[in-house]
Amino acid sequence: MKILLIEDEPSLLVAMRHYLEGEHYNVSTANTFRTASIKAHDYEYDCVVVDITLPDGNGLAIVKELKEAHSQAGIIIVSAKNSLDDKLSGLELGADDYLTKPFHLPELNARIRSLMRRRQHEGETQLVFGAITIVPNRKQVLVANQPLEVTVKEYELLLFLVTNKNRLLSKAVIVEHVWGDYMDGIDSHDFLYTHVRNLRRKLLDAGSPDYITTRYGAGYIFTAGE
Amino acid sequence: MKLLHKTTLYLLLAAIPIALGGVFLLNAYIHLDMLHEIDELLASELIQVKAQLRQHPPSSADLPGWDPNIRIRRTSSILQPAITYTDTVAFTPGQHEKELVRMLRTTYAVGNQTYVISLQQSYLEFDEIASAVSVGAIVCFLIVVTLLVLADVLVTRRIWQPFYGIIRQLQQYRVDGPEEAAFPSSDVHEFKLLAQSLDEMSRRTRHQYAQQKQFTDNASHEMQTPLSVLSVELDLLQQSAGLDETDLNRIQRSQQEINRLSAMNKSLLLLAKIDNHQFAQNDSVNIGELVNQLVENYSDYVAHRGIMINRMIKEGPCRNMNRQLADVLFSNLIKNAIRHGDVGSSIFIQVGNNSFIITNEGDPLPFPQDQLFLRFVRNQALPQSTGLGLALVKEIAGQYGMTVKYDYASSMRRHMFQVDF
Repeated sequence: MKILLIEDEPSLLVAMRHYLEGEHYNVSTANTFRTASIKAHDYEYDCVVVDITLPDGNGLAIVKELKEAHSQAGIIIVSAKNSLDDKLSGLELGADDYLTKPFHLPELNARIRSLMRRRQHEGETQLVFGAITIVPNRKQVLVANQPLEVTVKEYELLLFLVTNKNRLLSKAVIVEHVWGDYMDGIDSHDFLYTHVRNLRRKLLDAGSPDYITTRYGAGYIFTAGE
Repeated sequence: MKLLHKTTLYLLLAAIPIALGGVFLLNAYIHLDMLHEIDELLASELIQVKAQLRQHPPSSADLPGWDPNIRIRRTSSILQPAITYTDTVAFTPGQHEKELVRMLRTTYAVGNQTYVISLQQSYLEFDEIASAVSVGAIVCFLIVVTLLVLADVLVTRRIWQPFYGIIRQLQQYRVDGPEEAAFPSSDVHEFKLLAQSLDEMSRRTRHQYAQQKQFTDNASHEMQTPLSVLSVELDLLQQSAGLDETDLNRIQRSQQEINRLSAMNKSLLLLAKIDNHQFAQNDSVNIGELVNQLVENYSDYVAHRGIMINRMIKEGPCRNMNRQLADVLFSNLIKNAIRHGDVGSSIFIQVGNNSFIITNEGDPLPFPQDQLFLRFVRNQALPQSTGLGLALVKEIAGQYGMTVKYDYASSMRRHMFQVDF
């Protein structure tokens, strides 16, 4: 899967690239409007992640160029300005998602995966991890091909864990992804424990191995075992 | 009161004592002058009487009664021929009424006969003339004043025209408006100066406003970018092999602080934007619906804390406000109640036609009540708090003319916030 990252901050670009390459994406980068524009024009990408504020231009113009060229790439806008205007005009231009800085790398990965799934990229209609199958179209979870009853939040939680498998996910990152901005500044993320415990119990009861590993004080890793 | 009305009023107020004092002075002056005239008249009459007496000395029988104003009688005593003037009262011959008269009394000797001469002159006609003259003068004065005031009104109205033009411009003036305000110039030097100064001021303010806005935008970008770098670097570091629990805890705490710093940055920028009135766009926001939706967002967290939320929410009330700000206003109050509410207690939320009330159970404030809505005043027991949530509430409420009240019922240990909208 080919991704173009457009970001003017070098260290951010390196970190994003590093993480996404670890997720087995084929990553290209651009740090100016000019190079971004050339790359977007010359190659086909599955996904373009573009920062709005570039030293020599506005990232929104690249969105416009891509749309005018009828590019099939999914577009995620990244902005430091948490401004509704930017978000609306970006989405109006045809961007698929909007991410506000600072963001976490697992969140970026989840957004890209979700976007690719929505666009039915390479027929990716379901996620399989060991005994667990997730069918995003129907928001359904199957364990050993048997449907498993989960709540909306449990579904979101499982999807996020599976999407970022083998990564240590801190509680704050998970909470922010599943419960959204509203939990901003809410001190105790202990309540995540209840939800993880319930999900784990349901998976175990349905006959799935225990894939959720707790790292005390840090968070959770979804992995097929040590 | 309009300037025009004020000057007119003062002019009229000044005219009244002037008129009254004028009546008094004029009357006194006319009387004095009149007295002098009457005395002169009597004196010239005396000369004629004396001439008559000299040429035709009358016999005693002849001493006339033909003019009630001239009385002559003989006297045997020798008196000084001094002339005395007195005011006295006499009966009018026909009317049998008393009237005020001026009397001249003197003696005159013709040969060896001495006569006592009394001449009198009624004040009556003179008084009438005096009053007529006084009243006439005052009426003229009042007419002149009225005409002057009228002229003043017309002239003032014309002269101040550019001034009112400037005021109209100022009323419509918006620092973030699309175009520069043009204040009407005038041929009156002072108004011209005023318009020029206002033009200059408006240009400077707009420039500063634009700069500040630019700064707000830039500050957001410039600060969020290093925070992003920090955050993603820690994300990567966290994935490294060979970290023990202490290391991971350190990373967690650093991430938390980054989140707090970022939240603080966002809130400060929001406050700056509200201060700059950068949220012009208003929608009709259904408050009941919004509050219900916000409470739903927190339902998992509320359940985790074992808190019961009792709601009495009217769906009706709508207010014209920016949707984003409405969201921040009510979510901050709800979040505040949930975070500070005791575990296992209850929260009560009421939305009425004109007010929003939320109460929660908890310990009294650890700081004075009047500091509650100040920036960076926070409960130190909650490390994730930025101390800006309630400052934002106050600022947003103020923006829309709403009032926020706080009270603590110590008997029930309940905090109460009320927004009147």
